[in-house]
Amino acid sequence: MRPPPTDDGADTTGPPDRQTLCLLEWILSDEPAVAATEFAPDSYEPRLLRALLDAGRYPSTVDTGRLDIR
Amino acid sequence: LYSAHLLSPSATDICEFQTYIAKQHVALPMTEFDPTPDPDAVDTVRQRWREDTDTFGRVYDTILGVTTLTPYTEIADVAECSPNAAKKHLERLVEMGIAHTDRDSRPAQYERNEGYIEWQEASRIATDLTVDDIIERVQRLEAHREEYEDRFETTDPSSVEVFAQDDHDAIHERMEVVSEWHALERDIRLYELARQLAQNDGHLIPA
Repeated sequence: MRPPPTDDGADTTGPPDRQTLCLLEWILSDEPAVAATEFAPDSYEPRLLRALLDAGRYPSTVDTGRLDIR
Repeated sequence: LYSAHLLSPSATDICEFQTYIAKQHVALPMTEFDPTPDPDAVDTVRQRWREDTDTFGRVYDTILGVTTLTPYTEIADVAECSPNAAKKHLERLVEMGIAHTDRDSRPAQYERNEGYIEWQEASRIATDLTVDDIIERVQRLEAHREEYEDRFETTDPSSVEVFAQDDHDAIHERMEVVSEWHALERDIRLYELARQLAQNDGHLIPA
Protein backbone atom coordinates (compact mmCIF):
# COMPACT_ATOMS: atom_id res chain seq x y z
CA MET A 1 0.00 0.00 0.00
CA ARG A 2 1.60 3.27 -1.03
CA PRO A 3 1.60 6.27 1.28
CA PRO A 4 -1.72 8.07 0.98
CA PRO A 5 -1.96 11.73 0.06
CA THR A 6 -2.85 14.11 2.82
CA ASP A 7 -6.49 15.01 3.37
CA ASP A 8 -5.88 18.47 4.74
CA GLY A 9 -7.36 20.30 1.78
CA ALA A 10 -9.78 23.17 2.02
CA ASP A 11 -12.52 22.71 4.60
CA THR A 12 -15.16 22.74 1.91
CA THR A 13 -13.77 19.64 0.27
CA GLY A 14 -12.54 17.74 3.29
CA PRO A 15 -13.97 14.40 4.31
CA PRO A 16 -17.03 14.20 6.55
CA ASP A 17 -15.95 14.46 10.16
CA ARG A 18 -16.57 11.04 11.68
CA GLN A 19 -16.61 12.24 15.28
CA THR A 20 -19.09 15.00 14.58
CA LEU A 21 -21.34 12.62 12.66
CA CYS A 22 -21.17 10.08 15.48
CA LEU A 23 -21.95 12.74 18.07
CA LEU A 24 -24.89 13.95 16.00
CA GLU A 25 -26.15 10.40 15.63
CA TRP A 26 -25.91 9.84 19.37
CA ILE A 27 -27.85 13.01 20.14
CA LEU A 28 -30.41 12.46 17.39
CA SER A 29 -31.05 8.92 18.58
CA ASP A 30 -32.00 10.41 21.95
CA GLU A 31 -34.35 12.95 20.38
CA PRO A 32 -38.02 11.97 20.85
CA ALA A 33 -39.02 13.30 17.42
CA VAL A 34 -36.48 11.08 15.67
CA ALA A 35 -37.72 7.56 14.99
CA ALA A 36 -34.46 6.13 13.64
CA THR A 37 -30.98 7.05 12.52
CA GLU A 38 -28.60 5.31 10.18
CA PHE A 39 -25.24 5.87 8.55
CA ALA A 40 -24.73 5.42 4.83
CA PRO A 41 -23.18 3.28 3.53
CA ASP A 42 -22.55 2.03 7.10
CA SER A 43 -21.03 3.09 10.41
CA TYR A 44 -17.53 1.97 9.36
CA GLU A 45 -17.49 4.34 6.38
CA PRO A 46 -19.88 7.08 7.44
CA ARG A 47 -20.52 9.48 4.56
CA LEU A 48 -24.08 10.40 5.36
CA LEU A 49 -26.21 10.43 8.48
CA ARG A 50 -29.88 9.88 7.82
CA ALA A 51 -32.51 10.69 10.45
CA LEU A 52 -36.11 9.60 10.12
CA LEU A 53 -38.56 11.85 11.90
CA ASP A 54 -41.57 10.29 13.57
CA ALA A 55 -44.54 11.76 11.72
CA GLY A 56 -46.83 10.40 14.42
CA ARG A 57 -45.60 13.09 16.77
CA TYR A 58 -46.94 15.89 14.58
CA PRO A 59 -50.49 16.94 13.75
CA SER A 60 -51.88 15.51 10.53
CA THR A 61 -51.71 18.96 8.96
CA VAL A 62 -47.92 18.87 9.09
CA ASP A 63 -46.45 17.57 5.89
CA THR A 64 -42.97 19.04 5.78
CA GLY A 65 -40.12 18.99 8.28
CA ARG A 66 -36.73 20.57 8.51
CA LEU A 67 -33.83 19.68 10.74
CA ASP A 68 -31.34 22.41 11.63
CA ILE A 69 -27.83 21.54 12.76
CA ARG A 70 -25.82 24.37 14.26
CA LEU B 1 -41.82 9.10 8.49
CA TYR B 2 -40.11 12.19 7.22
CA SER B 3 -36.61 11.73 6.03
CA ALA B 4 -33.91 14.30 6.64
CA HIS B 5 -30.56 13.82 4.99
CA LEU B 6 -27.78 15.44 6.96
CA LEU B 7 -24.67 16.35 5.10
CA SER B 8 -21.64 16.44 7.28
CA PRO B 9 -21.20 19.75 9.11
CA SER B 10 -17.79 21.29 9.34
CA ALA B 11 -15.49 19.78 11.88
CA THR B 12 -15.70 22.63 14.34
CA ASP B 13 -19.45 22.73 14.49
CA ILE B 14 -20.90 21.89 17.82
CA CYS B 15 -24.10 20.09 17.33
CA GLU B 16 -27.33 21.54 18.38
CA PHE B 17 -30.39 20.76 16.46
CA GLN B 18 -34.02 21.43 16.29
CA THR B 19 -36.84 20.07 14.29
CA TYR B 20 -39.14 22.41 12.51
CA ILE B 21 -42.61 21.80 11.35
CA ALA B 22 -44.67 23.61 8.82
CA LYS B 23 -48.32 23.93 9.64
CA GLN B 24 -49.54 24.12 6.10
CA HIS B 25 -51.59 21.63 4.13
CA VAL B 26 -49.40 22.03 1.07
CA ALA B 27 -45.76 21.07 1.12
CA LEU B 28 -43.56 24.12 1.26
CA PRO B 29 -40.18 24.51 -0.35
CA MET B 30 -37.49 24.53 2.33
CA THR B 31 -36.73 28.19 1.67
CA GLU B 32 -40.12 29.19 3.11
CA PHE B 33 -39.15 28.03 6.59
CA ASP B 34 -38.07 30.70 9.02
CA PRO B 35 -34.29 30.76 8.61
CA THR B 36 -33.73 31.49 12.30
CA PRO B 37 -34.27 28.66 14.78
CA ASP B 38 -36.85 29.29 17.47
CA PRO B 39 -34.78 30.24 20.58
CA ASP B 40 -37.18 28.45 22.92
CA ALA B 41 -36.85 25.19 21.01
CA VAL B 42 -33.06 25.49 20.99
CA ASP B 43 -33.10 26.14 24.74
CA THR B 44 -35.19 23.00 25.22
CA VAL B 45 -32.59 20.88 23.44
CA ARG B 46 -29.72 22.39 25.38
CA GLN B 47 -31.60 22.05 28.67
CA ARG B 48 -32.11 18.33 27.99
CA TRP B 49 -28.40 18.02 27.28
CA ARG B 50 -27.61 19.69 30.63
CA GLU B 51 -30.02 17.42 32.47
CA ASP B 52 -28.96 14.17 30.82
CA THR B 53 -25.21 14.70 30.61
CA ASP B 54 -22.94 15.64 33.50
CA THR B 55 -20.31 18.36 33.22
CA PHE B 56 -17.50 15.98 32.29
CA GLY B 57 -19.70 14.44 29.60
CA ARG B 58 -20.53 17.82 28.12
CA VAL B 59 -16.87 18.85 28.04
CA TYR B 60 -16.05 15.49 26.45
CA ASP B 61 -18.80 15.89 23.84
CA THR B 62 -17.55 19.38 23.10
CA ILE B 63 -13.85 18.58 22.75
CA LEU B 64 -14.65 15.81 20.27
CA GLY B 65 -15.84 18.54 17.90
CA VAL B 66 -12.85 20.85 18.45
CA THR B 67 -10.28 20.38 15.68
CA THR B 68 -8.16 23.47 16.24
CA LEU B 69 -6.63 24.79 19.45
CA THR B 70 -9.39 26.68 21.26
CA PRO B 71 -9.33 28.61 24.55
CA TYR B 72 -10.88 26.66 27.41
CA THR B 73 -13.15 29.62 28.10
CA GLU B 74 -14.82 29.11 24.70
CA ILE B 75 -15.12 25.39 25.33
CA ALA B 76 -16.76 26.19 28.67
CA ASP B 77 -19.34 28.36 26.91
CA VAL B 78 -20.34 25.52 24.58
CA ALA B 79 -20.28 22.92 27.35
CA GLU B 80 -22.37 25.21 29.54
CA CYS B 81 -20.12 25.05 32.57
CA SER B 82 -17.75 27.33 34.42
CA PRO B 83 -14.32 27.98 32.90
CA ASN B 84 -12.64 26.40 35.93
CA ALA B 85 -14.71 23.22 35.60
CA ALA B 86 -14.00 23.05 31.88
CA LYS B 87 -10.25 23.45 32.45
CA LYS B 88 -10.24 20.75 35.13
CA HIS B 89 -12.02 18.24 32.88
CA LEU B 90 -9.94 19.20 29.83
CA GLU B 91 -6.75 18.52 31.78
CA ARG B 92 -8.15 15.11 32.67
CA LEU B 93 -8.92 14.46 29.00
CA VAL B 94 -5.35 15.45 28.14
CA GLU B 95 -4.03 12.93 30.67
CA MET B 96 -6.30 10.30 29.10
CA GLY B 97 -4.86 11.09 25.67
CA ILE B 98 -8.18 12.28 24.27
CA ALA B 99 -7.19 15.96 24.02
CA HIS B 100 -4.10 18.02 23.21
CA THR B 101 -3.22 21.26 24.90
CA ASP B 102 -1.02 24.27 24.41
CA ARG B 103 -0.36 25.28 28.00
CA ASP B 104 1.92 28.12 26.99
CA SER B 105 -0.90 30.07 25.47
CA ARG B 106 -2.97 32.39 27.64
CA PRO B 107 -5.62 31.29 28.20
CA ALA B 108 -4.69 27.62 27.78
CA GLN B 109 -6.01 26.10 24.55
CA TYR B 110 -7.23 22.61 23.80
CA GLU B 111 -8.21 20.46 20.83
CA ARG B 112 -9.09 16.83 20.30
CA ASN B 113 -6.26 14.35 19.80
CA GLU B 114 -6.74 13.08 16.24
CA GLY B 115 -4.30 10.22 16.81
CA TYR B 116 -6.28 8.90 19.73
CA ILE B 117 -9.54 9.16 17.85
CA GLU B 118 -8.15 7.34 14.83
CA TRP B 119 -6.80 4.57 17.02
CA GLN B 120 -10.14 4.29 18.82
CA GLU B 121 -11.98 4.04 15.49
CA ALA B 122 -9.54 1.48 14.08
CA SER B 123 -9.81 -0.53 17.28
CA ARG B 124 -13.59 -0.66 16.92
CA ILE B 125 -13.28 -1.85 13.33
CA ALA B 126 -10.74 -4.49 14.36
CA THR B 127 -13.12 -5.75 17.04
CA ASP B 128 -16.22 -5.79 14.84
CA LEU B 129 -14.87 -7.05 11.50
CA THR B 130 -12.76 -10.00 10.45
CA VAL B 131 -9.44 -9.53 8.70
CA ASP B 132 -11.04 -10.86 5.50
CA ASP B 133 -13.84 -8.30 5.80
CA ILE B 134 -11.30 -5.52 6.24
CA ILE B 135 -9.22 -6.65 3.26
CA GLU B 136 -12.33 -6.87 1.09
CA ARG B 137 -13.35 -3.34 2.06
CA VAL B 138 -9.88 -1.98 1.33
CA GLN B 139 -9.87 -3.65 -2.09
CA ARG B 140 -13.22 -2.09 -2.91
CA LEU B 141 -12.08 1.34 -1.80
CA GLU B 142 -8.80 1.04 -3.68
CA ALA B 143 -10.70 0.19 -6.86
CA HIS B 144 -12.84 3.26 -6.31
CA ARG B 145 -9.71 5.33 -5.73
CA GLU B 146 -8.30 4.19 -9.07
CA GLU B 147 -11.42 5.49 -10.77
CA TYR B 148 -10.83 8.91 -9.23
CA GLU B 149 -7.14 8.86 -10.14
CA ASP B 150 -7.99 8.01 -13.75
CA ARG B 151 -10.68 10.66 -13.96
CA PHE B 152 -8.56 13.48 -12.53
CA GLU B 153 -5.15 12.22 -13.67
CA THR B 154 -3.62 12.69 -10.23
CA THR B 155 -3.09 10.63 -7.10
CA ASP B 156 -3.73 13.54 -4.76
CA PRO B 157 -7.32 14.73 -4.27
CA SER B 158 -6.01 18.01 -2.82
CA SER B 159 -4.61 18.90 -6.23
CA VAL B 160 -7.98 18.67 -7.97
CA GLU B 161 -9.22 22.06 -9.12
CA VAL B 162 -12.64 22.49 -7.57
CA PHE B 163 -13.70 26.06 -8.19
CA ALA B 164 -12.63 26.49 -11.80
CA GLN B 165 -15.92 25.07 -13.06
CA ASP B 166 -18.44 26.82 -15.23
CA ASP B 167 -21.47 26.76 -13.00
CA HIS B 168 -22.58 26.22 -9.43
CA ASP B 169 -23.83 22.68 -10.01
CA ALA B 170 -20.51 21.65 -11.51
CA ILE B 171 -18.62 23.15 -8.57
CA HIS B 172 -20.92 21.41 -6.13
CA GLU B 173 -20.48 18.06 -7.87
CA ARG B 174 -16.70 18.47 -7.89
CA MET B 175 -16.70 19.38 -4.16
CA GLU B 176 -18.69 16.27 -3.34
CA VAL B 177 -16.38 14.06 -5.37
CA VAL B 178 -13.22 15.47 -3.78
CA SER B 179 -14.73 15.19 -0.30
CA GLU B 180 -15.65 11.58 -1.05
CA TRP B 181 -12.11 10.93 -2.29
CA HIS B 182 -10.59 12.39 0.90
CA ALA B 183 -12.95 10.25 2.99
CA LEU B 184 -12.00 7.19 0.99
CA GLU B 185 -8.29 7.81 1.59
CA ARG B 186 -8.91 8.24 5.30
CA ASP B 187 -10.97 5.05 5.45
CA ILE B 188 -8.23 3.07 3.71
CA ARG B 189 -5.75 4.28 6.35
CA LEU B 190 -8.13 3.37 9.16
CA TYR B 191 -8.74 -0.09 7.70
CA GLU B 192 -4.99 -0.63 7.34
CA LEU B 193 -4.51 0.25 11.02
CA ALA B 194 -7.48 -1.94 11.94
CA ARG B 195 -6.00 -4.85 9.99
CA GLN B 196 -2.76 -4.58 11.95
CA LEU B 197 -4.69 -4.53 15.21
CA ALA B 198 -6.89 -7.47 14.19
CA GLN B 199 -3.89 -9.56 13.15
CA ASN B 200 -2.04 -8.88 16.42
CA ASP B 201 -4.81 -9.40 18.97
CA GLY B 202 -5.40 -5.70 19.40
CA HIS B 203 -1.73 -4.73 19.43
CA LEU B 204 -0.02 -2.64 16.77
CA ILE B 205 3.02 -4.92 16.80
CA PRO B 206 3.17 -8.70 17.25
CA ALA B 207 3.54 -9.80 20.85
